Amino acid sequence: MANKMIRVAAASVLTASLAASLAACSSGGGNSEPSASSAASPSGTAPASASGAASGSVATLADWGQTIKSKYDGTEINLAFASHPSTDSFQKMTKEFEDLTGIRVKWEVMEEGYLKNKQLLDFTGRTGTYDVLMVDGFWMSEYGAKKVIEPLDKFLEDKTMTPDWFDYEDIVPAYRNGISKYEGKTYGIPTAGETRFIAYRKDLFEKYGKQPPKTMDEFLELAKFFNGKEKDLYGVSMRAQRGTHAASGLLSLVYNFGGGFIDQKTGKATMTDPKTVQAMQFYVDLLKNAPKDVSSYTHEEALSAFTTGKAAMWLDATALANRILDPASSQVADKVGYVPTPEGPAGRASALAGWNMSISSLSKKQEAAWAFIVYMNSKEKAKEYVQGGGVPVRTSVYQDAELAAANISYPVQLEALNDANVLVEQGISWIPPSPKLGQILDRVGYYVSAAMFDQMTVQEAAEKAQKEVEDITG
Amino acid sequence: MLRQYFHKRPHLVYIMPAILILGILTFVPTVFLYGLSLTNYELGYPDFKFVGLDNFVRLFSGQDAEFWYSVRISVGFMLIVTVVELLLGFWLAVLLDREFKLKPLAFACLIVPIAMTPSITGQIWKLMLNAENGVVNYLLHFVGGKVIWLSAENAFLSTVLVDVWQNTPFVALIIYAGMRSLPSEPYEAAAIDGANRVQIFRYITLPLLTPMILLAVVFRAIDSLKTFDIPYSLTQGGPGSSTEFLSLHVYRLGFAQTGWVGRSAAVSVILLILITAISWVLIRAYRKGVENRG
Amino acid sequence: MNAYGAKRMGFGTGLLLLIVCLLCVFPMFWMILVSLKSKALTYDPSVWFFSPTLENFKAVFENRNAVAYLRNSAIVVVATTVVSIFIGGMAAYGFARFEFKKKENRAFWVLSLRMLPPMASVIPLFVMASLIGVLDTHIVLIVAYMLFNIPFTIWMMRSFFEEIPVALEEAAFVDGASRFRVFVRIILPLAVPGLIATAIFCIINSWNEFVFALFLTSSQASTLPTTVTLFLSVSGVAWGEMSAVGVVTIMPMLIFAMIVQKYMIRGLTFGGVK
Repeated sequence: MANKMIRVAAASVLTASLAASLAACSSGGGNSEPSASSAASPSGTAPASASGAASGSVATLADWGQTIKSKYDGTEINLAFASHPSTDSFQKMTKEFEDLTGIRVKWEVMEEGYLKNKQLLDFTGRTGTYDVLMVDGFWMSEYGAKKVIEPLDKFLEDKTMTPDWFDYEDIVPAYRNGISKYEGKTYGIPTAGETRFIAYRKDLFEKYGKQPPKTMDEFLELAKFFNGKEKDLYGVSMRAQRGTHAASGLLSLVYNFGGGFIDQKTGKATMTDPKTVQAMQFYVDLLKNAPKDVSSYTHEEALSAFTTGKAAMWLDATALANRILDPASSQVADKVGYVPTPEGPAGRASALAGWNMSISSLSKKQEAAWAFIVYMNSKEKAKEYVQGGGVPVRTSVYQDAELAAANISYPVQLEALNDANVLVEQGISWIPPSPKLGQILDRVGYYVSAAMFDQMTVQEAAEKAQKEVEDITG
Repeated sequence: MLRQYFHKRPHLVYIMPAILILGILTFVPTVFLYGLSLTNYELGYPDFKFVGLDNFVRLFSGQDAEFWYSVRISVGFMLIVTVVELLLGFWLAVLLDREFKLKPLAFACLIVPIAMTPSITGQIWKLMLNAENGVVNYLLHFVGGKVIWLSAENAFLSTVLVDVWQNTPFVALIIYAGMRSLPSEPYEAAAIDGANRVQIFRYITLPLLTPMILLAVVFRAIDSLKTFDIPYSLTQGGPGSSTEFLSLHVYRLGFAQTGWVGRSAAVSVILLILITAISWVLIRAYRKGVENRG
Repeated sequence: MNAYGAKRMGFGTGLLLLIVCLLCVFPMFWMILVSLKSKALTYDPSVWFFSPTLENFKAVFENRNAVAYLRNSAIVVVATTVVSIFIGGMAAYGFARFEFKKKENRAFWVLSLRMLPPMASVIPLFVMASLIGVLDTHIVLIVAYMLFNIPFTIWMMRSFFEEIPVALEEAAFVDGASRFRVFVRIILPLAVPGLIATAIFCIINSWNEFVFALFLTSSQASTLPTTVTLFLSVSGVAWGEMSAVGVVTIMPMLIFAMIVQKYMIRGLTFGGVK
C-alpha cells in the first residue's frame, strides 16, 4: 500500500520536473538558469537548518569543509567501487576532498561481479571493512532486504549533514525513485544514471535511404535489412550473454511489449504472460541479425562490435555514449545518430538503471562516509564531475549548455528519460523490485540464452523460466 | 602417563603437529560443508532452515539444468587434458633426453609456463585469443585463417589449449626426470640379447617409467578436475554454460550472482566425493606401480 | 645414465625443440610487450616495434597499489613455506623412519588432502575465519596455504629421508645424542637438496594461489594473483595495466625458478624413483 502511494507521488514529481527540464532545454538553448524544481528546494530548508547550526556553518562548501574537518580530521574511510567512468572521475576529485576535510580516502576499485561478491562477503563475514559502497540499482532491493546498507533518510533530513548546495531535488527524480529506494526508504544517492537508447550508423542509413526505427517492427526490419548488407556488417548489437546480461537485454524491450518478469503488485512470476513471451520472441529474432558470437556479449563486447563498425545499430546504456563519441576508442565517432528505444505494441518505455553511493550498515564511520557522498555528488561539484568523465544524474547538468554542446546525445538521453517516466506513471519500476532479483535474472537469462541457441523454443523457455522464477519468489 | 604414551609411540612426536593442523583444517570445514549442504542458507541473510536432502534431490532430479552439464564437461576436460598433456609431455621428454649445448636454456623456456600464475595466464591468453584484436588471429591471418576462439563452440577447446600450454612442460619434466634416473643394467642386458629399439622401449623403458607416468596422471587428472583459475579469468564460465566446470558452477551458484550457498555446498560435496574417488583409484595405482618397480 | 644408444641432436629435433620453446615463452613475451605499449597501441596486434613506455608500470604502482600486493604476497609465501617445511618435514621424517599401525593409510590420507578442491573448502573456511575474526589478514592465508603445502612436503620429503642411510643416525645415537637433535643436526642438513626442491614448489604454489586469496582477503591482505579482477571495467579492459601487473606478478617467480632450476628438475621425480 505505502509502496504504491510513494510510486504515485514519485510519478507526479518526475513528470513535473521533466516537463520543466524539457521546456528549459528546448526553449532556452544557452540557458543555464536553475529549473523550477531545483529553485524550489531552498525554501523548505530554512527552518531545519536552525536546529543543527550550533556545530558550525555549512552554508558554503568552504564552511562545510571547515566544520567537517573539525570533526573528522584524520579519519580514514574505505571505499568499494566498481570500475566505471564515474569512479575515475571521483578519483580525480579525491585529492581536493581530502585537503578540504582532512578525511583520508582509501579506494578499492574492481569489476562489478567481483564487487558485489566482495561487498556481500564483507557483510556476511561482518568484517566491516568498507564504509562507502557503490551499489548497482539492480542490487538495491536485495541489499535493502539483507540490510547490507544503511537507510539514508536520516542524513538527508538533517540540514547540517546535507547542506543546501548538495541539492538532492536536482537529481533527476526518475533516478532518485527508480534506482535507489527499497520499500520506500532511500538507501543510495544516484551517482551515475543510465537509460537505454539506440545508436545507429548515419552514413549507412543515408546510403540506403533508411530512416531510424520508431517502432519495434521497424527496428527488426532494419536489423534484417542491414544484416550482411555489406561485408562484415551485422544488423544489430546488444548484450546477450547467458545470465544477467541476457536478462537485462530482454528487460530493455519487455516493457514496450507490456510484459515483465514479475507482476510488481503481487510479486508473482509472469514469464508465460503472452506479452512477455512475445518480447522474448522478438529479442531472439532480433539477435539472429547480430554478430555470430552475440551469445557471449556483455555490454562491453556489444559496444566494441558497434564502435568497430560491425553493426548498423546498437541498443544499450546511455552511459556508454561517451565511448561511441570518443574518436580515440571509436571508429564510428563521427557517423552516429541516436534515437530513443522504439515504440512497442504497448507504447513507449525505456530503461532506468544506474549506480548509487551507499553507506555500509557495518560502517563505524558513517558520518565521515556521508560527508564524502555529499561532496562527490553535490550540485556544486556536478560540472567538475561530468567534465572528469562522470555519467550525469542531475537535471542541471543535462540543461547545462556547455556540457550539452560537448555531447550530442544529451537531448536524446533526456527524451529517453521521458520514456522511462512512462513506466513510473504506471507504477512500474523498470528494475523489478524483488530482493531475489539476482536469482531471477540469472534464471531468466539462462533460458533466454537457451532459446537463442535453439536448444528449446521460446515458449518452452518461458515455461521453464516461469517455473524457476515461481520457485524463487515462492 | 603421557610421557610414557609418547615414548611407546615415538613417531607421534613427529607426525602429530602436521596431523593436528591438517585435521583441524580439513575435518571442521568438511563437516561444516556437509551441514551447509542440508540448508537453504543464502549469502547475506542471517537465518536459514534445514531442508534435508532437498539440495541433492534438486541436483539429481535434473532441476538444476546446468549441474549434469557441468559434471560432463568437467570429466571430459579432465580426460582430454590429461591424455593430451601426457602424450605431448612424453614426446617432449623424449626430445629432451639427449645431450646438447643449449639444454639449460631449453629448460628455462619450459619452466616459464610452470611458474606462471594461472589466473594471469588466463588473462593474457584472453587478450591473445581475442577474435578481433588478438595476436593469435593476427598471426593466423597471414595464412588466411580466423577463429572465434572464445565463442560458444570453441571456448571449451580454447580452455583446453591454455591448460595444455600451462601444464605440458610440467608433465614433460616429470617424465624427463624419470628417464634420467633409469638404471643402466637392464639396457646393457638388452643390448647383449640384441633387442631392437622398439622392444627396448616396450619392455624396459615403459615399465620402468610407469611410476612417473602415473604420478603425472595423478597430478594432472586431479588438478584439472578442480580447475578454476584459468577458466575464471579466461571465460568466467561462458559463453552460455560452455566452460562452466564444477568449480565455477559452485562459484556461480554460491556467490556473486545468486548467493545460494546451501545449493552450492551440495555441488561442492559432489565435487569432493568425485575427486576423492578418483584420487583414491589413481594414488592406489601409483603406489602399486612404485612397489612393483621396487 | 640412459644407455640405449647415444642420442644425437638432429636438425629436425632441434627445430622442434626450438618451436616448443618459442611457444612456451611467447605469452610471457607478449605480456611484456603489451605492458610497454602506450594505451592507444594495446589493441593493435600488428605493432611489434614501438618506443616503449613505462606509463603502465607507473600507473599500477601509483594508482593500483602494486607495492602493497607485492608485500602481502611475499609475507604470506615466506611464512607459509617456512612453517610448512618445518612441520611437514618433521612428519615426513616420522613416516620415513618409524613403523606404526596404519602407516600407509595415514600417508594416503595426508596425500589426499592435497587433492581437496579449494572451491569446496573455501566457504566453510570463510565462515570459520569470520568467526575467529581473522578474515583479510596474512595469518588466514598463511594457515590456509598449509592445507596444500604440508601434505606436499610430507609426500616429497618422505622419500628424501628414506634415501638417507639409517647408519648415519645410529652412529650419532651411540654418541648419546637425542633423536630430535639428530634430526635437526644431521638429517636436515643432509636433506637440503630435497628441502630446497620442496620449498620451490611450495613457494610457486603459494605465490600463484588464487581461490583462497580471492575469498579470504580483501583490502588489507590481498595477494598479487587476485589483481586480475581489477582490470575489467565498463570502460574496457585496461590491458596495458593488467599486463604490467602480470609482469610484476610472474617475474619474481620466474627469476627464482631460473636460479633454482637444477633443484627443481631433481625434485620433479617426487620420490617416485628410489
